[in-house]
Amino acid sequence: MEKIIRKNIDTLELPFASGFLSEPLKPRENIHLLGTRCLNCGVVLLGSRDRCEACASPMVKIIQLSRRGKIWSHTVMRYVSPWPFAIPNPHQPPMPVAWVQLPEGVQIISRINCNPDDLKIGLPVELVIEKGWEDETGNDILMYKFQPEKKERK
Amino acid sequence: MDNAIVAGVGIHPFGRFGDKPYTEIGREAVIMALKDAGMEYKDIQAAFVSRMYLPATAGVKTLSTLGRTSIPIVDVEAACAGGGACLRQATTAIVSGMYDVVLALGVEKMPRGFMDPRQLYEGWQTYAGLTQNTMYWAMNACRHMQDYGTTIQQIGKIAYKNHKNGVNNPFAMFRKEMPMDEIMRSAMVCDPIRLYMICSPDEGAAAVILVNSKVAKKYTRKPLTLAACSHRVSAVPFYNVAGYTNYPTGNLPITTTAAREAYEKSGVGPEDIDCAEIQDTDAFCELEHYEQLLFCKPGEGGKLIDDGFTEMGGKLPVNMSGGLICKGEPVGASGLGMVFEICLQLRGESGPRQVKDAKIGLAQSYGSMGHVTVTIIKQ
Repeated sequence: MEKIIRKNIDTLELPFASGFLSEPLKPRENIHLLGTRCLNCGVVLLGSRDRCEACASPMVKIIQLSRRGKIWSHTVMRYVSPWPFAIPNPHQPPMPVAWVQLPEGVQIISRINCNPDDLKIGLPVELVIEKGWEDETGNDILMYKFQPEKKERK
Repeated sequence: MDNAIVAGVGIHPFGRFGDKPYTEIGREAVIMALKDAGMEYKDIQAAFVSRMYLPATAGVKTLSTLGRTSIPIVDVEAACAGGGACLRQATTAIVSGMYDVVLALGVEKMPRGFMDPRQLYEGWQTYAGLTQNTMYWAMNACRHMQDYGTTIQQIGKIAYKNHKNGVNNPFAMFRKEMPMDEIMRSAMVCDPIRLYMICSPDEGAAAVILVNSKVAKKYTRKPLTLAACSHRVSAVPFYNVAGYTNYPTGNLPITTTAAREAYEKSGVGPEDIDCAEIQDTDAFCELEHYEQLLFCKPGEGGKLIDDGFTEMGGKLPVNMSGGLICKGEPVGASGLGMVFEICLQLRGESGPRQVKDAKIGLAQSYGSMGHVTVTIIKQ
C-alpha cells in the first residue's frame, strides 16, 4: 500500500500580531486596522487595548480605522535591519517608511509600497494587507502596509 | 531635604577593547572616581549601576571585584538614559538622608556586530523590517525641515562641530576632524541622515560618587552641587525609538517637561547654563534638543548652529566632549559620561576642551521608549 506523505496542507493565514487586524481575514480587501479610542481623552492609537495609553483610563472602545490617510513624515531605509531569525530575510533596500496619519488622528509607522522618489509629506495613501513573511511552520503572516492612493478612473 | 554633592568622578575611555571584560572596564572608572574623591571602596554605602546589554547582576559582578562590603547594589536600565536615571536614584538616596556616600556607575560593552533589535522592538516590528533606530530620527528631521525650514546643512554642521570637538577628548572613540563635505557625502542611512551624522555602539564606563553635603568637606576639595536630576518618561506622543503609533495631543516634548522641572529645582534658567552635554545619537537629535531644552524657540535650532551659539567659544558650548558622535554610545554608561565631562568643566579640568568660567552645566540624555534625564550641576 502506498503511503502518501503530505506537507503543509494546513498552512494558515495569520495576523502579524493579535488585536491589530479586523476579522475575518478573508477577503483581504475588507480587513481594517483596529485602533483603540479613549472615551475619556479622545486619543486614538493603533491596536486593541484595555487602557488608554495617553491618560490611563479604562474607558476605551475598539474601533476599525479608516483605510485612507496621508503621509505625515517619511524616510527611506538604505540598509536592511539585523535579522535574528532562522527564516530568510525577505527585505531589500531601499525601503520607504512613513508616519501615516489617518482621519481619526492616529499616526502609524508603516512601510510604504512606492518608489522612494514619490514620498512626500501630505501624499494620500491607502491601506494594503499583504503577506509580510512566513513563520517557521510555513504559515503566511499578514502585515499592513500603505501605498499611494489609486486614483479613480473617470 | 539634604543636598547631594559630587565628591569624585571617573571614566574608562569609550571605544572598543577586544576581549576586555566589562567588569574590568567598570572597575577602572570606579577606582578613578574613588581616587578623585579621596576615599576607599569601603566608604561607599550604596551603589546604582546602569547597564543594558550586559547579563544580570552586572553591578555586583563588577563591584565585588573591589570587595564584597554587603552594600545594596541595584542595576538600573533606562535605555540610553540609563546613566542619568542611575544618577537620579543615587541623588534620591542622598537627599532623602538615607545614605551619605553613594556610587552611580554606568558600564556597557555592546555586543559586536548587530544589536539584536528584539531588545528594543516587538517581534512583529522586527519581522516587518521596521527596526532601524535611525528611521525615527530621520522622520523627525524630515518633519522639522518641513515645519521650520531646517536644512541638512545645519544638521551636518552639528556633526562637524562634534567631530572637531572630539579631537581634544582623550576619552573619545573617534578623534578625527571630519571635513564638512565628507560628512555630507557619507553613506545615506535613512534619508536624509547620513553615516557620519550618527553615533556608533561601543564600550565604556563612567562613575560619579555623590555625598551628602553634611559630610562633603571630608571628601572633596572641589565640591560641585548636584542642583537637579530629573527623570521623566514620555507621554503621548513620542516620535522615537521604538514606538509604532502616536496621536498629536499637544503635550510638550518630554525633554522640555524634564528640563523645566530641573530648571525650577535648581533655580536657574537656560540662559544661566554655561556648557552642556546633550544627546546626539544623531546630529538632528542635538538640534531638536536645543529647542526642547529651551536654549531657543521651537524651530530655531538651525539658527543656533548657524550663529555658532553652541560652538566652542560660543555663548553656550554644547558637546565639548565631541558628543556621542565621537564618544560612541555605550548605552548604560553614556549618560554618566556626560556628567563626567560637565564636572571636569566646572572644576576647570577640561584642558583643551575647557569652557572659560564654566559655573553651571547641564547634561541631558534620551532613551528608547521616551526616557529622558536632565541633570544640572553647579560650582
